[in-house]
Amino acid sequence: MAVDRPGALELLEAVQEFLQERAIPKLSGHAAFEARVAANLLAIARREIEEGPRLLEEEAADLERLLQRKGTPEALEAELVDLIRDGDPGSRWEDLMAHLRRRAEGRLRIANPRYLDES
Amino acid sequence: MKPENEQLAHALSAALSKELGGEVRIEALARLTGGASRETWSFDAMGPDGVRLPLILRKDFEGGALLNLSALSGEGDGFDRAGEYALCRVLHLAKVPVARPVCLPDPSTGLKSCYIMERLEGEGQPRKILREDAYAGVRSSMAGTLGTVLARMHGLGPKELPMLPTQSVESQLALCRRMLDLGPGPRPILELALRWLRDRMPPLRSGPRLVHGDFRNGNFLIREAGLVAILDWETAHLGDPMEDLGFLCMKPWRFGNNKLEVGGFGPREDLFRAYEAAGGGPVDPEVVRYWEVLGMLKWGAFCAIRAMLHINRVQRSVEAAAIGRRVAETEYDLVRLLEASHGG
Repeated sequence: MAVDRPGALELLEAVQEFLQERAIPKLSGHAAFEARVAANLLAIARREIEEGPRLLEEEAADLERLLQRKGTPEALEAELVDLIRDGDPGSRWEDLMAHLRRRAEGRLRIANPRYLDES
Repeated sequence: MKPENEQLAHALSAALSKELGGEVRIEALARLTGGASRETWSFDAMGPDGVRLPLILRKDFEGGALLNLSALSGEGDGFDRAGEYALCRVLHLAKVPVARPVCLPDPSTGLKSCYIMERLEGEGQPRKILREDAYAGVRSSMAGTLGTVLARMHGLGPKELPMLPTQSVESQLALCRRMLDLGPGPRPILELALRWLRDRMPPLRSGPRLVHGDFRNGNFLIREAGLVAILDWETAHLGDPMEDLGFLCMKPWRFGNNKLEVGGFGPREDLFRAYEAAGGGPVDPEVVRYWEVLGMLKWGAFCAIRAMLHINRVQRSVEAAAIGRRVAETEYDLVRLLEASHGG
């Protein structure tokens, strides 16, 4: 949802296009490298705005299923870390790994979706 | 020349004149971009006999390192530039491929916490090494070459290298704990990797040996004819030699050549076979895997800390921000490694 047009996503896209099509071809050396990194960060930000809220909801629901109780995402995450650090994570290894794999994949889909295909 | 460079050139000239016994002139002094903890300078020294020596100066930052892992672990930096110089002298004599150390400057010259070494020609950029046609021949034999070099390195221990600090598995896991506590929030996957490592500490099969500590594609200088030098010895220590093999096999150092698990060069079998054939002792792939997981955990925690330094405005750049989001890659790789390496 945008406050006005072009909205946040469209603005990010505009800057990304500017970097890729106008700025980067004129840059060299470390500045060119940094500009390519910057364009990539804008792509991450766009994916996070588009997909982040749903991802976090799914992750929280998944964590409630794993720990079999309701709670704020922060509280549940703290409980998960306690289980891993001081509990017996081996007793529920399969469920735990399945949860962590979905978490890793979800976050990678925002940070670097290409990495999933290349692995 | 800038005034501060003028001053450095003067100090270098004084140090090298003393070392070489005659007036030395410094030319082409330039700072190379580099790490978070050291400065690297390139220059030529015109010796008293008219010979031009291409050299490198490795120097600690004036204000200390921004990101010093030993300091983070609470152990202090047990290994300074004088130690690195002494180490490289031993390595050079032992025919480990390193840049020949040339001079440890006398502090009276104004040069502190640094040493001077020979500047070698070659390619160090991992992506170029892995992609350019000129290096195709080097690439195909590189996994074996690295195994042979590691076996020679691991022949050295505390007797030859008294200047090196010792790092046990326990101390490395303590460092990981410290790093995770410093990061910007809980990371269940990195926590699970640490728990997995805590539950499976491998016994040291022989006494502690020389460990490079950052043995990866990115610290190898090569030419078309082959490996020229192993670079960046600042994390060297005495410990489990399998650490270097495991670290070398980490996925981030394959730069997309994912099937070739040894730095994008070749299969693990080539590395292990060459290592054993050169007298490195039997390789247990499970112990190598252990150190690979530990290396991945350290790398993930390191990325998280770089992100935190950016977020807290200590050291800001788009690169640091990007490295923060690369933790997602490391976590994904760690989940797959732990899945493949048996359950709880």
